[in-house]
Amino acid sequence: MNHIDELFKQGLEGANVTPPPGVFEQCISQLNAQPMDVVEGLKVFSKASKGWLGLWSKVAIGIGTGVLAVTAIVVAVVNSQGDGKNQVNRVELQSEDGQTDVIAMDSEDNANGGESRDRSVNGLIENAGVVGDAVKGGGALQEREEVPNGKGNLPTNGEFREKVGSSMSGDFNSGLDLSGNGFREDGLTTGMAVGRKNGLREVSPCGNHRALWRPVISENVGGLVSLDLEGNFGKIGIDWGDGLGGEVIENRGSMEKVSHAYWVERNRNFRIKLVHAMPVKKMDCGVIWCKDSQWLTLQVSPSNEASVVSVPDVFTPNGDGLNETFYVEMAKPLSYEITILDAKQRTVFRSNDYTEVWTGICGNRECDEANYRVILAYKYSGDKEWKYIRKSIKLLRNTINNIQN
Amino acid sequence: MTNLSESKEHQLLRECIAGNRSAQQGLYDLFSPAIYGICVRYMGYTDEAKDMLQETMVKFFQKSGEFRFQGSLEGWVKRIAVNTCLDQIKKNKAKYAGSLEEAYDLAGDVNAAQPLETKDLMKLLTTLPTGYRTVFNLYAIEGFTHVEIGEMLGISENTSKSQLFKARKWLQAKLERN
Repeated sequence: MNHIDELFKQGLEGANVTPPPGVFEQCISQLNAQPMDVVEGLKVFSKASKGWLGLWSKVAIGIGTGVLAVTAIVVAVVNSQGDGKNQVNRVELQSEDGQTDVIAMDSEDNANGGESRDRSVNGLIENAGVVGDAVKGGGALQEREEVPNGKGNLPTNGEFREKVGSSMSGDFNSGLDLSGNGFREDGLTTGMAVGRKNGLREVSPCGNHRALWRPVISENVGGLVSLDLEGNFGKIGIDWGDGLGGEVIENRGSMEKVSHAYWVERNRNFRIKLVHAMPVKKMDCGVIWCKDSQWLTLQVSPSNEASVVSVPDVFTPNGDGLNETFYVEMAKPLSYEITILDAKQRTVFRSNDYTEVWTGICGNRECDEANYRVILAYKYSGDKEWKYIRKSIKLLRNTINNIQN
Repeated sequence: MTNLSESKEHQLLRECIAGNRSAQQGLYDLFSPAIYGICVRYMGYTDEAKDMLQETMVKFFQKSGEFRFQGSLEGWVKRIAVNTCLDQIKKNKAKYAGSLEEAYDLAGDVNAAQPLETKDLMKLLTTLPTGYRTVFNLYAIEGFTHVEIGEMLGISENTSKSQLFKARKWLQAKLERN
């Protein structure tokens, strides 16, 4: 070993340097700081979709041989002034071994339910699929569907106790009835009483982090599907449901957009599964990956039914600002080729880009007022063969004369 | 590190994970001098070293639930510290491109009497330009290979070697001057 290396290694390996004062306190305040993005995320969603508030959650729990259906009223108690006092009320089951599973989770961020296992520190999103989604709230989002999950992460033996606890604030606002079902105080009051009697106060830190995101289908034409992931999320794994794999999207801003091309020959339904994982710190130490999932079902249609291809009859490249260019109105195809011929069958325009327009220029001069032949070939998802449209179009320059004529 | 103190680490960590504030303080007191030593080695005696200490400890507290109670907790924390410093150096590099080869004359002289003590060596080390210092730290003190360093810093193996060579030469010159 080089003597310089040795000298420094001996002198500095494990060297202690007294740190400046106050760093520990700064660590603690950093750890305890309420992440602003979570609060902002809540606000965004309370504005965006009121339907997320007040959802019924149902869960069927098998106990021994019998099946007990527990219906938990869900009331979101979110301080509408947004002063940070978000309250979350929870219904939890606790077995004798102390293992707690949340079976219902209210607050407006309950749209998807799906409590992650608190004890899991496995941050791999690939494994998120095994997380038991005990509760599925009916979503207000279009195309969301409830998916029962039989993964059985609820304890199946021992004595169960129901409890309702509230996190983050002891200020319980029972005056709100966001469920719209008139079923609020009785259930909650009972729950609270039981909770107090048993002295159970364990609260999962996942509470405020769930369902701050949502997937929105922004485009679904001819097999091309675009999905917007809105809100606050960590990582989202997407299984497109067509057996062609998936992808993991990380949140880099407020919204991520992701697209996928389906290949269908007839109308087909696909179920997209989205698994969300977000690291959340516990009260004092440690971090857990809170996971939840959402499903979307969408119908994908092949091109011939999904898209309308419109070839205009006339265009007028005369500088009056109206119909100056010729283009085909259609959704984005997978393949495209357009050829425009003049009366002598000479090609005056050709393009493979469906967004490119013809301005009425033939070579290096303006085209004559005449009829032109358009040959359009295109393919959408599911098209085995090229589709063709052949049409004669008219190029006019002197529109006033034409009208007068 | 003896078995006794190692089990003390683990015990503190268990209490910390269980939510015991004083255990958190205990872990901080236990590790912070060594961690700050690492931060100073990589960042120099700067505010950034302090920031890196804070960031390391916060990361450590946040991830403490992931510790498997196998092996040395201190080694784990130190690795977090080194990685945190490297991340910051990379960020700085992006911000001030070219600063890795920063001017030699920025470095102050070290007037240390022989034999060199830890704090003198530290001072000397911190006078190295960032690029040399990083590679030297990783190779000579942390014991990584050039291949590993190349991967960690996103540089070639040969760059790592040449940076180490220059670092040694620099340090040698400084030592001789003293």
